[in-house]
Amino acid sequence: MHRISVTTLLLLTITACLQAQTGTGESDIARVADTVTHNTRHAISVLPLSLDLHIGYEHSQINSSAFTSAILLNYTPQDWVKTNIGFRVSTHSMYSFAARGDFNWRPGNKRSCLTLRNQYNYNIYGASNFQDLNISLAAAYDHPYFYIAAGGYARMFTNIKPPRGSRRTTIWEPGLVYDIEGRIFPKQHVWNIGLQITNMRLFVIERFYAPNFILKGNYRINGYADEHLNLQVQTGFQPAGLMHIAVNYYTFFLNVGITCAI
Amino acid sequence: MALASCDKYDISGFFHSSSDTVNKRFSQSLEIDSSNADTPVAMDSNNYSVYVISDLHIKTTAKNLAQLIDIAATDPDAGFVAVLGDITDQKGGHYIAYDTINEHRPGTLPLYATVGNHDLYFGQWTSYKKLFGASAYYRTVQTPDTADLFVFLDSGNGTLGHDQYRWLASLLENHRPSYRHCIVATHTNFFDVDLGQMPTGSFTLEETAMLTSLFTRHNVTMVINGHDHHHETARFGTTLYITAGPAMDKNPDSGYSVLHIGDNITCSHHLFQ
Repeated sequence: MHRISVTTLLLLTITACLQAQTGTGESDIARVADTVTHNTRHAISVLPLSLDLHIGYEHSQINSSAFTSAILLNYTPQDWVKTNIGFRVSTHSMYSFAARGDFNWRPGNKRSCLTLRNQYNYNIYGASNFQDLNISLAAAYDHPYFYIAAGGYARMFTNIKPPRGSRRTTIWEPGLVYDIEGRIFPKQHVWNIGLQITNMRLFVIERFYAPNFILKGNYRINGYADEHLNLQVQTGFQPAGLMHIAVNYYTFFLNVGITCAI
Repeated sequence: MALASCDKYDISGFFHSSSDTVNKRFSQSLEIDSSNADTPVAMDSNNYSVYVISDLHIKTTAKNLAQLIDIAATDPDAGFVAVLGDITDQKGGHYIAYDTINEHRPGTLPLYATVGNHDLYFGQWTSYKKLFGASAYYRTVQTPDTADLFVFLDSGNGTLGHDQYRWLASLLENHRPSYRHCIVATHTNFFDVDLGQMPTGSFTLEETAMLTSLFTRHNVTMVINGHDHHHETARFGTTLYITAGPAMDKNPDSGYSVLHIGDNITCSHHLFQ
């Protein structure tokens, strides 16, 4: 009873202050409350430095089983720019480097934003004397419940060392990127589950006709909208032959990770 | 239009292929071909030709296939004809191809085939297997002074699958050094430098890395494939990658490729008349 009374009193005080300052009523209170929420959201997104640590398991038709571990450093100096850089290693002697910059613009309704996403991926297939560099640029729409990105990439294949008695050969390949994700709660929610279809994974941009189907979840240990400790898990598969219209299992993967503020 | 498309494309294949999986097809191919692999094609000269046709997509006629066999049959240097998949989209198409081959091919000219993704639509692996046999196997060509190895791979699902990949790696490891050339023939293309037949698919990135590496490591001379409906040549590592053009009837771009095999290999592309 006492608590309710205090809360009611506080609300009445705030209401009175707002009315006194702006001469407006209940709708403005709601708007102010919404702004507070958004400021909280912005406070999440501008955590300047955080670290992602991941471990994973992958199985593929050709490569059988592999274990992976990855580290990713996120740097968000301003709300309008987010960057990250990371490294992943797999027990199949595959080494991946990734760098990404997201440039955000929040027109009008600040719940969503338009993003220009620029991603660089470099993969070394150590056991296969093969390396690929991928540069992609995509436009994205980021909403609390979903994320859609589409764009293009340019990829370069070449051997790590040219074969004996042969000069280096390089192949350039263009392609499309896409990333579609939906979730059951707004992304600031304490826990969430989402579905994602994409050829843009963190460390590998796959050819556009080989999408990954991903089920993902997360849990914020410190509660709503707090990014200081965020547990993540994702599992997915990648079929071969989707655009052959003759699918066949190709890859299964499972990753667990944590994001922690530095 | 939608109904016509459904005759051509097996939409269920987006979720589950109506033919056997690649691992099952490979297992069946080994069984079907167990008695054939040790019979080489004998040539009188160290220089000979191989005629390659792909992506016929037969509906009711197989005029281009007939024309190619007629051309190869009159070439005294012809070693064999290779058909690199997508023989048909529709049920019954394999029978039209089979009848055409029997009608035109002289008994002495071998013809080797492998499957494309369209050959797997509507459960057609059954008719392919019955009429053409294995989809993954190897053949050798014996000339007076040397011999060449030809490996046919089943890439109808855009992957070789675990078992076929292991078999290929073992075959190249154990047999490749005994031959002058090693030529790999399959349906799916390895590189997609021009988005030729967008949005068709090739192998995943990982499989591209592992296969191209395998080919370079074992000095595979040439890889020839179809699928992209666009004639293209690329070199990666020590291997030459040729994509044969399409061969559908009533298509002005339809053609075939001829591999001129001697100490070196050259490839020429010809349009059907």
